[in-house]
Amino acid sequence: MGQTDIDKEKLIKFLQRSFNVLPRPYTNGLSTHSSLVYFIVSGLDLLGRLDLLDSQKEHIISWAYSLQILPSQNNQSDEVNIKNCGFRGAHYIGLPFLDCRTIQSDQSLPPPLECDIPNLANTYCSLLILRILGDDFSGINKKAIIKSLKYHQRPDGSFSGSADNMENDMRYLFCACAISFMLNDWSGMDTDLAYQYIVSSQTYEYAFAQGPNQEAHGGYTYCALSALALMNKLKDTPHQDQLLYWLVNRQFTGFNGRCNKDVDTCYSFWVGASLDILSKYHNVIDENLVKGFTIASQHESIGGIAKEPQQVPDLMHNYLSISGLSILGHPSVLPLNSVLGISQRAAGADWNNKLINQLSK
Amino acid sequence: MSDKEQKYIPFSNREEWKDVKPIEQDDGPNPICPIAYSDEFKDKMNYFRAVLKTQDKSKRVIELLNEIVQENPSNYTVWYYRREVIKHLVDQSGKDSFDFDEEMELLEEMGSTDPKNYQVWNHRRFIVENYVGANGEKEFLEQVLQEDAKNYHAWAHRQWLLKNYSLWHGELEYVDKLLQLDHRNNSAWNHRYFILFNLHFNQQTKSMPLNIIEKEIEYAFTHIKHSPNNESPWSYLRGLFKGQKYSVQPKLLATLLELKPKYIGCSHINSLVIEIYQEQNTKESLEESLKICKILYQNIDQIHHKYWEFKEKNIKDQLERLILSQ
Repeated sequence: MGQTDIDKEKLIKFLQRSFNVLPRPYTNGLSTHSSLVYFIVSGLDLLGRLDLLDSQKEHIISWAYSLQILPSQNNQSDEVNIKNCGFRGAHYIGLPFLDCRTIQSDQSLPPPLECDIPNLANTYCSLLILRILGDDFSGINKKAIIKSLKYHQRPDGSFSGSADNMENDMRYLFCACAISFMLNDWSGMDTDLAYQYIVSSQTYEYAFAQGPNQEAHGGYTYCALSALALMNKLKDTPHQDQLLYWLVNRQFTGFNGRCNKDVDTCYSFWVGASLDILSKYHNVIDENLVKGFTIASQHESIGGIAKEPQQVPDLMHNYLSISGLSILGHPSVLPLNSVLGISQRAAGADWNNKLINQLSK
Repeated sequence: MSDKEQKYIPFSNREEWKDVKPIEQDDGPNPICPIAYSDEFKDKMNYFRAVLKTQDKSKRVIELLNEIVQENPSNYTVWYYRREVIKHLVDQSGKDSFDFDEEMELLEEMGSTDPKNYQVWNHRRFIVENYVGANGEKEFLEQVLQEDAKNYHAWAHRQWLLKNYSLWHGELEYVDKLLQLDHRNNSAWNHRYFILFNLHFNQQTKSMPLNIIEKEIEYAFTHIKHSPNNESPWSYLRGLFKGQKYSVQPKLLATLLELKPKYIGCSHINSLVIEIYQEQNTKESLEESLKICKILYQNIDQIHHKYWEFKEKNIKDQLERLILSQ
């Protein structure tokens, strides 16, 4: 009880243990396995210990590439699965493991399975994992992924997770922007329409919701602001003063994600990163209060950070808390590129220059 | 094991699955970050993979998917395939051949055990929209919101229902009931705004009509008077003016100034007064708001002290610009 700082060694051990095997309660993480791997790889990176994965690095890269869905090779017209090029979340649909970099151009593949469907969140996470590990994206079929994005955008400007899914909202709009940015090709989306969707999702509380008319929410506000930054439209964010006021009012000790809800460590990222993107965090936030709440939420024996004190830690809250510590300037954590959700080291000068401090330039 | 718990029967021992050859998950020579699945879950997924391979869309598949979604409710591929099977069965033998009551029961059950799952709500919308209609949906939502009055998905589903099936009747009364129970239910406040927005928002002026603003200010104040530190009605009050100036309703400032001495420790009333003063943009109003900033960071709202100091600096700049322009 009464720890005065984060126990970094325990945090690292928690991530290493998770990397070796994830306990049974993570069964529901099967379909988004790549996000769990991202939480671990990026977490170790932010803690300055990516070297612990050195012996596994090539295996992780190979695994990530095995998740890529390529355009059907035995159909030259590209139309069979062009809607579905991107990354799967894991290997649960029954295809043999295949690192797609090893496929020869004249090799014919079996026709694509109807159910071999990517999800924009998985594509986003896989690209991040590859970037963190220093891969140069040369094994990625950029053209196919960008082409497929078109089938994910809806008439209202939003994006759905998969082309044939009706689940369309701010989360996937953000993912589409991040993918377009990282692959440096915006031809797969209508950015004006996307901008319209973001604006129409700004509520009477001046923060953003999952979609039009819904309640202002820290997570979706992050997605909206990050998407604007990626599209280089951050300056066109309406009602910035009122939005700042809403974000500031999320802080009690840590932050909550909606008006009159409980504080939760994940919002030290969602709300903290929103403020960071607006270049205002250190002007308006009491860093010590956030730090204290995060420390109190670290589990003494398991080592990871939970959503609140006295809870069992999980990879998502743990990762977002580490990111939150980075934003508040904790010396044990590398600086974060809040827009993409990876370290500035991993993002590199090129991406950092385009994205960070956009408003103060 | 208790008597109540049924012993798991592997699919290989089930008569109706005898013809199917299960397929193992292949994670390659170096599985990354493996999840410690139970043997039962592996067994189910092995048969799921087999089903995908042969594109089996028969009735038995629904049973298999029922078991899988209990353990991996977020699996979008599983839900996708479930929709494909349902479409196929209905196409083949008509709507009556599929038991949609059972489908709704499953969703009801999952709605209460896993009420925050995107995919479950998404599937519910699909079934309602295409097969069973909106009958009973409001009642179901009332139950869910009784458990958690701020369930984001439930409110989204409710908005969709209202819009698509024009079920607006009684909605304001329902919101009012929820707000009487809990003045701090921000989701209910948002819903109230949504209803009024849909009924009255002026698309040409991009703002709410004045008579509605007036009525709603009154409504917000009845709740504010109950607990002045409740952020929700203050946020609602400010939001009514989105797209126009506070000056359209001069009475508001008068009311605030009258209440201010009574609400000594309330940051919300003070911040709203500052906002209105900033909008007035006179030397007197800005000097007055500088004084309030100081009170806020020194006494009333120390958690956000840095914000109020930041605000003070901004207002000083505003004042300077004003003086220079005169």
